[in-house]
Amino acid sequence: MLTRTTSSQMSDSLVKYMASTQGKFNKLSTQLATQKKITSITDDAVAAKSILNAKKEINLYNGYIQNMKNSQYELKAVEDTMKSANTQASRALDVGMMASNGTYSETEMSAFKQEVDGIIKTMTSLANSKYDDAYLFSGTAALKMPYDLEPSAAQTFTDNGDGTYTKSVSDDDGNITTYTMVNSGTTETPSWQTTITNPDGTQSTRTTTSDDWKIENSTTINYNGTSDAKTIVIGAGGLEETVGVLGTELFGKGTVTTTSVFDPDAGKSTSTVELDGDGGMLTSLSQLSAAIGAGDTDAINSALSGIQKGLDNLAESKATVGLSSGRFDTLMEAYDNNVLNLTSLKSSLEDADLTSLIAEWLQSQYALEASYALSSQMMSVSIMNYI
Amino acid sequence: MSINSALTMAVNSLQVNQLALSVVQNNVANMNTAGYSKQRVNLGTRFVGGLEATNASSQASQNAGVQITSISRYSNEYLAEYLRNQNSNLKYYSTESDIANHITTLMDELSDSGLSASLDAFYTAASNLQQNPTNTTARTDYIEKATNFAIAINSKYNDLASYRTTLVGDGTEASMKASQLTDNVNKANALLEDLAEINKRIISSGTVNSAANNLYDQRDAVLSELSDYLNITTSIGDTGVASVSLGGLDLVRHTTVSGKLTMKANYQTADDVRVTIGLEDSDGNVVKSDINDRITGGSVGAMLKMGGTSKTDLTVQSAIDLLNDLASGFAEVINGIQTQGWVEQSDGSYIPDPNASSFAMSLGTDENGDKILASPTGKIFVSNDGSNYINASNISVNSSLRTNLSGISAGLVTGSASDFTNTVEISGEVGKQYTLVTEIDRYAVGNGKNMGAVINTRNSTTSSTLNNLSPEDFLMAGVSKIGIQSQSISNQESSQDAICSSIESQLLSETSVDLNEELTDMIKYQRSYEASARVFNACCDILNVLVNLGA
Repeated sequence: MLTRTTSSQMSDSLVKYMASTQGKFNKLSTQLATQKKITSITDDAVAAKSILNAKKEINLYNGYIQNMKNSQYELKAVEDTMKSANTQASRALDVGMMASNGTYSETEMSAFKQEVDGIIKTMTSLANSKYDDAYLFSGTAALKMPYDLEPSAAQTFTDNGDGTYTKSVSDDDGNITTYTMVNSGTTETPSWQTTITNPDGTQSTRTTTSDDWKIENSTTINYNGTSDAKTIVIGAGGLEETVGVLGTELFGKGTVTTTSVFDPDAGKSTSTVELDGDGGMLTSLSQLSAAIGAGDTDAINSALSGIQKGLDNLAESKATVGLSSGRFDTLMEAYDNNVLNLTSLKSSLEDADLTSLIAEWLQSQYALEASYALSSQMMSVSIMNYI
Repeated sequence: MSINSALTMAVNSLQVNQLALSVVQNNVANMNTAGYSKQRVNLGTRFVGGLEATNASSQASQNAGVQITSISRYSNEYLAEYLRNQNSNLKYYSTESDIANHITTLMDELSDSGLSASLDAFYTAASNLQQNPTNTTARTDYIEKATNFAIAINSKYNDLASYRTTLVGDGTEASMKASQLTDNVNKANALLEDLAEINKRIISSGTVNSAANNLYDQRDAVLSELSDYLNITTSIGDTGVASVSLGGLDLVRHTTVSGKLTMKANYQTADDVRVTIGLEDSDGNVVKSDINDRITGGSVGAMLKMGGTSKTDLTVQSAIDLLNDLASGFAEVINGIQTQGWVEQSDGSYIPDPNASSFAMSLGTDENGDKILASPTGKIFVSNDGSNYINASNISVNSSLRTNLSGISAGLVTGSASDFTNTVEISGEVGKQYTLVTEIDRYAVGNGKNMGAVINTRNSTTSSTLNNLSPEDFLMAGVSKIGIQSQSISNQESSQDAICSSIESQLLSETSVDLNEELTDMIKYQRSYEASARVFNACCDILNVLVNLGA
């Protein structure tokens, strides 16, 4: 017996074929409209996972790249600051060299000192440079101004011109104690007496000591930052990189003390300058200023050697910063390549190839139209037309 | 044989052909009626007289024309039963596929608005904060992005939970009664009643005739519809009465609904919502209290499964579990970093852990108003319902940190518990928070190392809840699993659809109406009718001749 093919069966099948073709057409239309091959995770779960993974990796690398780009701007600010510091230090070196040869008058030496003091101010300002509201050279103490130069309480020594001398010592609160030295003996057999006038006005007199002829003035270069530099994450597995340079590595910290001792016999003071600290540009400059002021050639030479060392440090740190920046460049290039590859992978997985998609869409459209035409033809074929 | 006999036969033939034409008409009228089986008129010769004819004359006199011996129905019970079984599977897969599609739509991570986008935004904010730990905008961004993540995951949880409520309820009787599952169970129960009623009518209709054929069609339609809901087994008795069972338990026996489906909501927890389907007899006695494991097909089976508590198969619950694990694991990881090295006290303050070597540091202000490093003031993520367990429904950002952005632990210092003191005034109070003993280290507020630790969790974590994966990888793995499971269900539906289409086509081929066939039959019976009418006329003419003989 022949298998029956009934009208109902035929129309049922035709409807199913049409629905199937229409479904395919619809899917291709969606792909064309979105230009994506995969619009839902169920389209291809494995490819969708790769797309999601690629997206995450791209975001991850872009995060590292952004970190490094921002840090490079910061490093550029550090580098620019160091460049300015270099210019200032070089000028200080020139001034110091001139001051050290001992051929300049007191006035000229004073001018040198003033110039060095100006350089110190500029250098302090450079050491306190900020980037994006954070100090560049204070390590992780981003809001703490890294440098301040703190002069000690002032001590002065005055030749009163009448054979008496006054030493004035100020304490931290500005209270002044004066020591007045008077010779009650003769020139040959001097008998120096010191009258001490306390801030409250009380007085006492005693025999002059060697310390009464000595005054000490110091400047402390305070570093308020931390000893650890800022770090950022630049790669998987906790890969970190230090950003920037610690202030102490460039500008140093310590105390420069000028000691002047008056010799009443000779009628003049002799000054020496001492540095207690770890060197660095600011300490050496302060030492230079004090040494020029004191006329202490040894101290000038010592300061010049410190400045030269500071310049070497600057060059070294500049190289370190350059290396960091270069490392960032290398990594960014590698990450950029990764991002490019991942984007390409993602694109190959999810983006529709428009040429082939349009061709497929047109084919599907023809198929759909053909199925409509065929169905209507087939449905109209019946013996009914012939009776 | 008398002329009257021939006349009677002609009339009889006219009647029979007329009836046959009406059957053809019925077939044509129902050619598009779903479930209608073509009926066929079976004709037989009509005899009169009881004795065997011994000669041609007596044989002729016994002929009494034509009669309809039966109106048979084109059917194939075995194929129909097979189709019902397969249809039950198809309905199961298609319902599963619909639900799976809905779940994958809710868990869509390919778009730019999914949870992975929220996580990416969070990590980008962490990266910015790492570079600018003292920047208020960076802190605001970090906490806002954490909030966005919490809101996004809350929203997804609510969408899924609400969808499950629509599907099977939320564990309460009221919501269960308003669920799709109840609709389906009610429809199945109504169909069982219908079937029992049809069985009664089949029995009362007696012998096989056209009326019974229509009842059989109705019966088959009910059975077919019933297979949409349940994985029934049918047995058709000699009289055409259908008995239906489910996993060996009778649902309809002859004319009685012996197993009506009952439902019971069973709330365990918000994330463990169960519905138990049982059976009761016509008197309301419990036949079996739980038949869930026997309902393996139809839409009811699919809803029970997808709305169930399986963690291995794709269910609404498994998607919720994924969100819960992500929320819990992510909160555990981020909170762990936020309070690293510190032990929380019952009053919410933190003291340094004597065994720790790394300490997360937030910001405070010293007596001069300068920012200093300080011990944490709280976790980033907390539950908004007071529960100790953070999940996708209750995860939220600590409101105190939203108002006190300094509380974000962006810094990380290494050392030991002895490096900290709580004798310093921090943010106007002494003793509440710790800072570093070494004064210079207190001001290391540009330390963003703890955000580096946050960023590193983008590669891996030590959270067992996240299987030691990064939150994004954990989410991707889960979503991908949902996608694969959904795709597999969709493939099963497609292949099952192909099987059903093939069987359906075969069944249609055997039982449906073919217009050409009917029109051919129509011409056949029409011709026969016309011929009988001519015989009738001829007989009338003969009678006329006879009546007028001798006139």
